[in-house]
Amino acid sequence: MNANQDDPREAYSGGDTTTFDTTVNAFDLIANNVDDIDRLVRFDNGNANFNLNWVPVGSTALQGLGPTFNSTSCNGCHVRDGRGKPPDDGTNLTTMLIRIGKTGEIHPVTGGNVGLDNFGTQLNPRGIIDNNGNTIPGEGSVHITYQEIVGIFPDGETYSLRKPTYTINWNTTGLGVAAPASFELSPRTAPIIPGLGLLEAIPETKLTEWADPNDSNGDGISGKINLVWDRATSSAKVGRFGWKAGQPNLRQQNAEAFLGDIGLTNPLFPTNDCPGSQTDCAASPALSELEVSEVRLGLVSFYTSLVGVPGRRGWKLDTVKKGKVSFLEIGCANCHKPYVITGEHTTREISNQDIRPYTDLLLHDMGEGLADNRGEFLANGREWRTPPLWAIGLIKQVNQHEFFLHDGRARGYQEAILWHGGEAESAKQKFMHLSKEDRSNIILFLKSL
Amino acid sequence: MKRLTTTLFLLLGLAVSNCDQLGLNGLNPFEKEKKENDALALAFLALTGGAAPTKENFLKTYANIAEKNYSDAYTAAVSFQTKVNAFVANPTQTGLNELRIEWRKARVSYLQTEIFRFSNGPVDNKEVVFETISGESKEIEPLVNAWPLDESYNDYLVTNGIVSKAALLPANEQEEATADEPTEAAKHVSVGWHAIEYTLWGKDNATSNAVAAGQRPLADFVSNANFANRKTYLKSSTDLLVDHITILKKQWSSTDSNSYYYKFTKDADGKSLDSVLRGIAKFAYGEWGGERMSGAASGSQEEEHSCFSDNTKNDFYYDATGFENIFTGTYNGSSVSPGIGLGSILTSEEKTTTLKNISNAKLFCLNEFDEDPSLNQTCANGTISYRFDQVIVASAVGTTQHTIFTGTIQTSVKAIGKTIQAAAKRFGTTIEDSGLNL
Repeated sequence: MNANQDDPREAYSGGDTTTFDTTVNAFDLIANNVDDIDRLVRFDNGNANFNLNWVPVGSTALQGLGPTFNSTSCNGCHVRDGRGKPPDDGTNLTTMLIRIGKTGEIHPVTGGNVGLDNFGTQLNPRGIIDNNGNTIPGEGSVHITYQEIVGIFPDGETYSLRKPTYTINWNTTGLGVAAPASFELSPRTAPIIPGLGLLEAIPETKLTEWADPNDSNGDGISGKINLVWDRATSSAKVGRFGWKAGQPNLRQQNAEAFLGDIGLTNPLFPTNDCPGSQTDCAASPALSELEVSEVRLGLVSFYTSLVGVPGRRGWKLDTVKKGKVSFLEIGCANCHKPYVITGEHTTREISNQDIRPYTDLLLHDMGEGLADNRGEFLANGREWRTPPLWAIGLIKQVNQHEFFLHDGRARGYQEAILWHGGEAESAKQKFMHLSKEDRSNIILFLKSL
Repeated sequence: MKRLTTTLFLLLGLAVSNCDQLGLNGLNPFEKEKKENDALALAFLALTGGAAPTKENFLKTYANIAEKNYSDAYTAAVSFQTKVNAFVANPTQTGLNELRIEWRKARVSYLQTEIFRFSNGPVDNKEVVFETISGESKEIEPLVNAWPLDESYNDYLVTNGIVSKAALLPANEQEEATADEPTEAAKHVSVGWHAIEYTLWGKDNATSNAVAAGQRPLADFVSNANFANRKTYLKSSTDLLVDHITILKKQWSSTDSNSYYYKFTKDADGKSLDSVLRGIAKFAYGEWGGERMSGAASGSQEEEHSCFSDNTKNDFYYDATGFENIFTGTYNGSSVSPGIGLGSILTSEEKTTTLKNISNAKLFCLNEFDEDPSLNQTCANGTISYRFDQVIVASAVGTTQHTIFTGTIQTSVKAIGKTIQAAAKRFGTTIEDSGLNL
């Protein structure tokens, strides 16, 4: 396949939704093909809800924060609709969270994770001061330490990767409970918002076509569809969103984030999350109605499905073109699929779009080095969903960092590539054996996305 | 009001050129074409017999309006402060009522100054202000007008005696957005208009039939738990408010050669107009017509800018007035020297459209003065005559009042932002702030 068959739409990563803005607002713009004023206002209202800072129950407006939470707004983690990162000083996670659970246990009904008795499935480090003046204790904090692992390319160039270790300081004093004897944990940085609607609109038949769970074609890649619990229908559906494709659709992804990250009850998650013996949390005054109404959830879902994908920069440069050829040649595109056409979607602007997301949305074994050893539905502790690569080159502009992978351990593109193992081991080895120039061209290509 | 007649009409075709030289620094199919500001302004010379509609004259008019407006905001805040001092010394129900009325009155001039936000000026650019109460350079706006606030936090401050000026300032945890950390604006608001509003009115408990503002009892200042702390809190937060507005007033003073006024009108770097247009577009589209109006779409009764006092209709009306001042080159209905408003340097079509949008943006009947019904207006047809929280409550969707608000008022305010953004292109300013992509 000719990598650069002069596709006139090469720059249009998100098809007709593509926006061309290289400022810090690059991830915060409406899809370029929305032209109806009513839909524009609806989008803006959704955006306002995305940015709203919630306050505890008992307040006059915007009540419902907590009792425990990670952030007071969506934008608190997805800063400027962009990407989160590990904290600089190893403490106080702001744009990243830790999923937790009972080691290896599977929920009998949903097939999903089982929360720890007194801490649930996500570590909420913060608690509100509630209506009665009680300060609700957070569930604990996390300390990250890194160990440098030095390596060498065949051409003699050296590199160093940092391997994180996570230590949870459970708030046993504040909660009056013992620390869990054993637990599983999975650190997750906040992903970017642009293009989520388009990912939802990729036809399921396409994922089935791409999947090869038993590696029937013998190429060493065994992409697998995750089947996850869909709360609206109480049935298993194809997973698409989240680092392990644990959410079936954008609405449920948003609803779970509302409850899990901000502590807001909503139509899909109508109960406050106060696991086990968190009595202060459970006793905190609650609202009689849902904290996030159906209307509000709909607005945010509309908004998150219509953030335009930023277009490519510099895609005509020779170095970038060569980088794309190498990217394809060494096998990156076996999982980071460069092109697909979306199907019919209830949101018209994202239907039938030619998009360039660089993902197959499937689960792949990425090796021991990246493993979090925490399964999620059909995903095991070594499997991750291929993350889309579109707009990755603008993260530095929007969020002023280049920390990649699920937990932000990679300090730049090359480290992210070098962490690839398992099914991606062969592509990584080929990358390592490329010339210095070819390696840097691949990175230039990624930056142009 | 001075009447301006534009006799020249010019249609500008924006050239669109496709760019083939696509480097790493940007790919934009819609290259903008720069126009010479002054030549353009002269092309729209309004034959008014007054000053020429130049960029310079507009900037001077803008700065002179800012000076008058901040001066009035200061006077009103001091008047409020005087009443606070009297009330703290001797709390009575009459005094509490007067305070609430005075708060509403003081908001009138402050709200008009909001049009100066987002413009790299003293109110929200900490690089401009070198003199602050705490001795460090801080953004003023979050110390003056942050909302919404976490009421339980304000109760916590009162309960725990964190009520002195020195203690309240650091307690306003309004982190500014930095390169890599999110801002958590409006979580812990210890000071400013809305913290004071909560102290005066208390919660406005949202129940569908509660057609009233918050009803904080006088006893909270006289006998209820922590009443002395609450009085101190009221006084400290008011004193800080006056302090901060004083800083803004000084920065817009034409008689101080070190003030921002001087730097702005001198315009040595040629960026003053860019800042003004960017600020207005961003304020109109994102804040005034954006965040503050989104509550109507969510169906949440108290998702309004001044939710304790139910003063939100006034907020919107005087935000519109603030823009009208700049647009027409007037203040309090009189022309401000040299009398060149923003409208004078726009096309006649933009001017006509925007004047219509301004009148739409003011379709509020100001009738929520619970403390003194004699201040309430008689409502004309087609205006928002219901209490604002009754207009945005979920059950109001589809009613005439709700439709006027979302279909006419909000869209007009957003259109103001769009018009300014489009006009800015002619002056060489590309405004691509969030949500403003044309």
